[in-house]
Amino acid sequence: MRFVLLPVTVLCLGFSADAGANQRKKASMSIESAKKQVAERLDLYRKTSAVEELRGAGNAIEQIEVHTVPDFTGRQAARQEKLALWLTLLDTIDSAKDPKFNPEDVPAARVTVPDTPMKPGVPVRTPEGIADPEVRRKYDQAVAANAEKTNRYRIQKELRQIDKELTSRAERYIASAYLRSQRSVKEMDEAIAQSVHHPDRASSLRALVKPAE
Amino acid sequence: MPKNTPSAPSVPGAPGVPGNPAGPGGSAVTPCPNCNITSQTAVSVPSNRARTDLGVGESVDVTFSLGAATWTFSPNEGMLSSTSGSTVTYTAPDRASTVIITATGGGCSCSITFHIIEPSGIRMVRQPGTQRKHTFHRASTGFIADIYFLPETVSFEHCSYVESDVDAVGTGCFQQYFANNSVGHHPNPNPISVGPPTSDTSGSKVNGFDRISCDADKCDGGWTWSIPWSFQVGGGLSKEFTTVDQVIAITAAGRATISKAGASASSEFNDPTEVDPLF
Repeated sequence: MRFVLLPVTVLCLGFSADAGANQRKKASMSIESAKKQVAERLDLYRKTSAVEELRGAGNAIEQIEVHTVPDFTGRQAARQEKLALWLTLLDTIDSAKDPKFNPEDVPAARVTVPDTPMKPGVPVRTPEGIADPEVRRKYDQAVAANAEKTNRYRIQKELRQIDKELTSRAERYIASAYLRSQRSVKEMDEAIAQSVHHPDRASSLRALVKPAE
Repeated sequence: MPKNTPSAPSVPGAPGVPGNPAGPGGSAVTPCPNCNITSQTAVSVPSNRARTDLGVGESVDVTFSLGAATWTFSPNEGMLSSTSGSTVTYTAPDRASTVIITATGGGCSCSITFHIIEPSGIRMVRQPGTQRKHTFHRASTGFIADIYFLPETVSFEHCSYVESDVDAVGTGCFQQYFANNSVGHHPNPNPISVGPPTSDTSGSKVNGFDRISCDADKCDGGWTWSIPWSFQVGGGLSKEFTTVDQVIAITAAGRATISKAGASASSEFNDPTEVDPLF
């Protein structure tokens, strides 16, 4: 059987040399394009805190199709590039998360007007009616602080939502592209050393490829 | 279209494709009985994670039963994490829509239809264990409210909201004062985020609370703020979706009542002072 197939295989390889080169070029362009898009998205995220940019970066990474690269070495390189991009993205999220964030410490929809005398002729307690300018100033400060807290809370909460979503997607990729083996651990360790600054993340990533005991 | 529709891809001459004879008798034969798409929402509440009604901005994993697939969706609203793979993540758009996602692979093609839902209203409940806000010998009352987005059948955890500031309209002894003065309710100017539902019947709980209170001279009258509420998904454009009345009623005896979105509190003039720490 081998005797019959060998010449056919050689023939196919020779016949498809140009196609292989084209596929390699296409795959390389796809990786370069994804890297550029991810860099742009992460840059925009740092400027705007908009989590849509992080999701967009994740989508750009998923456009890299490792399995379409025609040769083993190329696939190996594409796999590592894709892993490195996922790890860079997850590290960006980890770095933006405030470790002191307390999800129970929620903001208020408004600030209560303090119990303080109103100006003459004002029959209801309102901020405009506050007679003492110093009390009004403090009230305005409390309003500004609550608004700031609201923003901070929303950003941190959205980060945790996108973390959950993108971690799941990255793990799905790792599970599909890597066997549980020492070789995979070595490759993962190299990628972690390049991009990951958070020990918890590093541990959970290693656990995905560690051989079963 | 049914929720999950298997079919062979539209190949000219293939049986079962509209316009192509399916063989003797012309009846369409479904050639891909094992072709289907399953879905699982990212959030675990509501507990039916296979539901096909999604809140705006919600994410759902869709999985093709026959393995690797090419994915498309129509109309082009929302986002697919990838156009290939056996499982991909679909993120719903920020407006109501009906979106059909199609997977093609292994010589088969099937679809799943998602209905994207915007918030339709809110409900408030007095936060359990909290006190009112009342000052002895003032016509005053108030309560701390938890806020829930409706409907309860989906999650709005990717939404945030703002209340618009509007002037109050007075009645009775307060009519003239509110007619002559612009008195707003001073809402938080920044969007407040919404979390997932806490149960299958709760609605999506806002990551925040409302301080709803009033304090006035005693006389027969009251005032109302009719407050427009707008939602947005992430940093997207906001859209008004409901108007919520915050209604205050005062009596000459000094009884004060305040209500908003189904929750209320009342205090008598002579009630002892009580102020919840969240005020």
